[in-house]
Amino acid sequence: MGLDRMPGRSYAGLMGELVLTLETDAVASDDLRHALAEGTVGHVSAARKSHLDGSAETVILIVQVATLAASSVPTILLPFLNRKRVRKFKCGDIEIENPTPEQVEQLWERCMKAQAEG
Amino acid sequence: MKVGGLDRHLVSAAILQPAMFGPENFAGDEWVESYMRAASRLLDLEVRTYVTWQCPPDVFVLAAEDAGLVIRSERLDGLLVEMLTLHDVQSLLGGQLLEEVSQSAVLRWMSEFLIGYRRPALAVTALRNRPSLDGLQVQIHHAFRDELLDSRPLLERTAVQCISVGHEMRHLVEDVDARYDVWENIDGIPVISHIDFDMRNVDKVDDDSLQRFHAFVSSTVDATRLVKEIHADLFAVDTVLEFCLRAFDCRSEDAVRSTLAAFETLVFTYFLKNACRLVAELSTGSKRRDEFDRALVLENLQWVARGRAVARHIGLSWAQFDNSTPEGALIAARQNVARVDAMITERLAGRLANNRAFDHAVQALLDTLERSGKEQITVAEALAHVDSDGDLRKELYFMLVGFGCPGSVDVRTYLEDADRTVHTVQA
Repeated sequence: MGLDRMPGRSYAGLMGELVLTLETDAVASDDLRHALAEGTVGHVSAARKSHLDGSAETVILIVQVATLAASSVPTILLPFLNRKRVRKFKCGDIEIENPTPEQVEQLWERCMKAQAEG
Repeated sequence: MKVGGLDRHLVSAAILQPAMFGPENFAGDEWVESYMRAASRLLDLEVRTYVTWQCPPDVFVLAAEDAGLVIRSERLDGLLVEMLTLHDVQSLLGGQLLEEVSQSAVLRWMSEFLIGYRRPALAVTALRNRPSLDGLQVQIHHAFRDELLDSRPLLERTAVQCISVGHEMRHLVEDVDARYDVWENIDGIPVISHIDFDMRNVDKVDDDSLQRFHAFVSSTVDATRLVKEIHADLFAVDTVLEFCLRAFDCRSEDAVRSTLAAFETLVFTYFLKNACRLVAELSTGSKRRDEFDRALVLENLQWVARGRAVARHIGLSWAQFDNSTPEGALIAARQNVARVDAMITERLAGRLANNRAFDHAVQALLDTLERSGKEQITVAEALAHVDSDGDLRKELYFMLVGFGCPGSVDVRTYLEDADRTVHTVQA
């Protein structure tokens, strides 16, 4: 077996994983989804969110990140955070609205630490 | 029942903290469940429905990989029912009393939406701006959902509960790549004709002015979104009308009247919610005042177009339900479009009072905002009002109970949390 992902499967489950949830605007969602899938060797699920108030559609991304690749997450997210494309970032029991790169880095560190400690 | 797998992550990510959620079991709402089953079959769609509580009125859909998820807050149905009650109350009132009752209701709903948009200081301001109705026994708001829903006849209540769900479900099957312009035909009439109707028929503007208006509309209105919303509206009114006719064995006129009232209620709810979103964006500085003004004008145009498209469509659908031959339906169509217009006119005074109440409420909120978009009233000041004003605290407390919060909910803590950008997720 090479390094290609198996169809419909993630290596994340084999190596321990972190689950990360993002809400992003629809314009950036495809790019973000691909960047996360490639950069974390993880599985990314997406769902379009349409709202009663007719506001712009957003996309929810659920990312199962292999712990071995977890440290790359803040770097992958950085350009999207700088362009204010991420509406929500959630990991574990904390959720941040309109997160800054610093907030993401801090929360992600905390999640990785919690995962390492089991 | 527990929610498992991907749905748990998706719904949890999509709702506002500190909202809770679970699978919708439609307790006491078997007609809504039945409508959703029928609409799912019609759309050939797998739908899973969740209910949220401890949160302001809302409904949205998630297009997941294997199914559509419909997420409705417990509070939304109650708010729509309150609007129906307000229509009835308004028909008995006039003069200053009509204005104040309408203002009181509109400000209360805006306060709920502003909490939803995490602007607690503005929410408290809206509530404090309500005129005092002391001594007037007008029961529009109820803290308890069942009591509220039971306050309306079953036909009306079912129509109003189903129409928002039908609208959202239709969005799940729309072609995401489809693009439209304002000349797109709806029932044989271009959308722009609904938008410029008043200019042509009431203001009777000249051709040059009309062309300039068309150019403005073409360059500013998001026609793709508008047409998709109209498609969702038409699906919702058609299916609710047919469902009511079959489920309740009622006269077609009663089903049409209830569907129309439900749509009207939905229009005002959506408009109010959108306006609160714009006020919230203005207050955080993510919109400038000129952008806010422009967005509000565009919202208005959107609702005019949707309202006219739906009113005409209901008349046409009504004709088909009552006539088995094409010739009969053709004749009835003209008559029924006029009969629907007459039904709309019946509630004109109340609608105009709501519009005036809305203008008054928005102006009062704008007065609390500086030009820079910063709120003059801080959250700390708003909380100080909550601490010192027992009636205000009680009003907010019953609002939160209406959201589905437990009786032990602390108003101050809830509002403080709404102001934060970092939230602790409920287990």
